[in-house]
Amino acid sequence: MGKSILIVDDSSIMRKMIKETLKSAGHDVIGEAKNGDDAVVLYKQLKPDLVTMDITMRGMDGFEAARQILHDDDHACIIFLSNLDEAQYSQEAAKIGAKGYLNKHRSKDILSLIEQL
Amino acid sequence: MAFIATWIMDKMTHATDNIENRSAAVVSRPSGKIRSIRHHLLWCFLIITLVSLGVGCVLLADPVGAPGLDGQGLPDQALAFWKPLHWRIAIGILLIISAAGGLLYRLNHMIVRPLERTAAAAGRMAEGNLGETIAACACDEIDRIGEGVNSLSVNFQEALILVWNQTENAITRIQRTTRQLAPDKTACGFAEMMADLATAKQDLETMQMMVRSFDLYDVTITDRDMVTAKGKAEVPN
Repeated sequence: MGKSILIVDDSSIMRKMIKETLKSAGHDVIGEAKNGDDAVVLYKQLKPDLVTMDITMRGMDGFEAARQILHDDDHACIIFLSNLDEAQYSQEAAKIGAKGYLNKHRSKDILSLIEQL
Repeated sequence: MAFIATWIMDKMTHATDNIENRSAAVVSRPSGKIRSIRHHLLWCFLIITLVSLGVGCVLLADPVGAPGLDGQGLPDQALAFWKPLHWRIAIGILLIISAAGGLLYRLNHMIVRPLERTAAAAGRMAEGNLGETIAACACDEIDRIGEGVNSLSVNFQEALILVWNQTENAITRIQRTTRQLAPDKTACGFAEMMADLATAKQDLETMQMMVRSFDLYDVTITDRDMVTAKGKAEVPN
């Protein structure tokens, strides 16, 4: 069954690519945010099943946004999608309470991880 | 009047000059049209001021046997009418000049200066500084121009990072293949294969050099890694 998903990424092209990937697998993209501030506000409004979160963004970054979302909702399901080195940042993502950390250009991995959740 | 005009021009251009001086090495073209709009605004103000003062002088001028500012030469009845009126005219003219000055200052503040800031920042972005951001809230058309330029910059950085990551992966594979082939130097076509791999590696490194020539936002490329400029220390435990 498809999940309702909030995409957070400062690049409109990346949001579009991630959206297409998720929609092709039957997921419902219910919102898009281009920075951490918008993500926190939209999460409260939309209550999505899952959030895909970029790390480097203008304004509030992904780690801070994830922390605030998880502070408000312990059960929030957040996956970090980033270009940054996975080995270096995935542990930090896990410490915050994220469900996963993936390279955002590997769309099949994203879908596999969502299926496992 | 010339002194006032010079002073106003200095004040109005001061902020812009600061912005343009910061990027003097980058933005070589003067913002001609924007300066022209500012000059037009200043001329509007001067014309309104001069016309208002001219009309005021005509209205307040001493006609034949008519009063000066002190109302001398008028019969009492006319004096009672004229004296309050000419002060009202004078105050009215001052109000017109003030309103015109305020309006034109506001136009300069709302349109000309944001356009100059956007143009200067866009120039710096065009030179490869993708960390540059145009302050914009998307509340009006000029801000939306800034938002559009910001978005373009972010998407471009995303494309550069993709190029970097893909080339890094390819270089790693080439190095591994080269190492695996190294012991078998007598194999058929070994020299050509090694030359091809070396060329491919060189091409990829050239692409990486291109990526390195940009100043990316919040991301720093070290020898082989890409890390956030903020570093791991700021990531919460």
